[in-house]
Amino acid sequence: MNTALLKAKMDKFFAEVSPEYLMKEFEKMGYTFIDSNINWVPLKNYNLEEDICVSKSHGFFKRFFRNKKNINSRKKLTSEYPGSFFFLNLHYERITCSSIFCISKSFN
Amino acid sequence: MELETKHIMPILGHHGTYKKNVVSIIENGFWESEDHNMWFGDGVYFFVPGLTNPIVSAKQYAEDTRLRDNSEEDTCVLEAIVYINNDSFLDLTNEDGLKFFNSYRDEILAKIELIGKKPSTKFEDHDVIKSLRKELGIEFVKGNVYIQLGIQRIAHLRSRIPNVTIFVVNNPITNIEKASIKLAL
Repeated sequence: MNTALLKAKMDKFFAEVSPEYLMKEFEKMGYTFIDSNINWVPLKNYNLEEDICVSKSHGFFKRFFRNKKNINSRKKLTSEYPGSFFFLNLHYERITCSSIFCISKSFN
Repeated sequence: MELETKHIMPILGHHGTYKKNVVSIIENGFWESEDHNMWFGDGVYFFVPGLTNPIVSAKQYAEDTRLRDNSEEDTCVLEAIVYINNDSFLDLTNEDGLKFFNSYRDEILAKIELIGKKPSTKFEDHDVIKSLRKELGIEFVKGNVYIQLGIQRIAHLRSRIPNVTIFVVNNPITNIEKASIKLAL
């Protein structure tokens, strides 16, 4: 796989393509489009490795706990959440990386 | 584009099918499935080395198809050499490939969001790959996927953990060496 070439092609394509063209192409595949009200704002650039290295405590995890209504961010990430699953969405430069991971032991 | 390498590499793939199709495939080559709404969309599918022995997986897939079709036909496994052009190859078995795919899909959604629209249903992977084929010239896609095979099919086992490595190729007439197609099992 020639990653550099594919990225260059992708950059060129998205620099030139219109949203209307993309919608039309996907409509040909049977998709329909509706008004969006998600007010999507890209997250700030995270550096995953740096964050994990710097915050050996639970700071990094608490940061995205706050976005989860059903998880109490004040609880320590210890035995209160044994074997918990977390969904992590990171944006780094142009790349969005989604991961699901499980923490089965406490951080003590 | 200067980044083009035109690096060609062969890969041996295995394809499970009915024995009745063998003569036609060997004489005329493989034909692409159309409107394929699973995995990586249209193309000719092969099991390739990775998570399992591809010959075993291809045979199991053919047998499962026979059972699903309630057919009495014998099944077999064909092997063929596919020549991959590295410049039009998307490898979803590595992180670079996965990051690239996710980036492409997100860019589409973000671009459409610019005019206040979003899809009313979820974007299917095979349609994103269809777009990649048209817009960026992708002809080869390799990836790890989950396919119910054998005992998993019997148990109706659902899983998000890939269990086989598959490969799909477009334009089989030019990308698959017809003389290499032969019976493997």
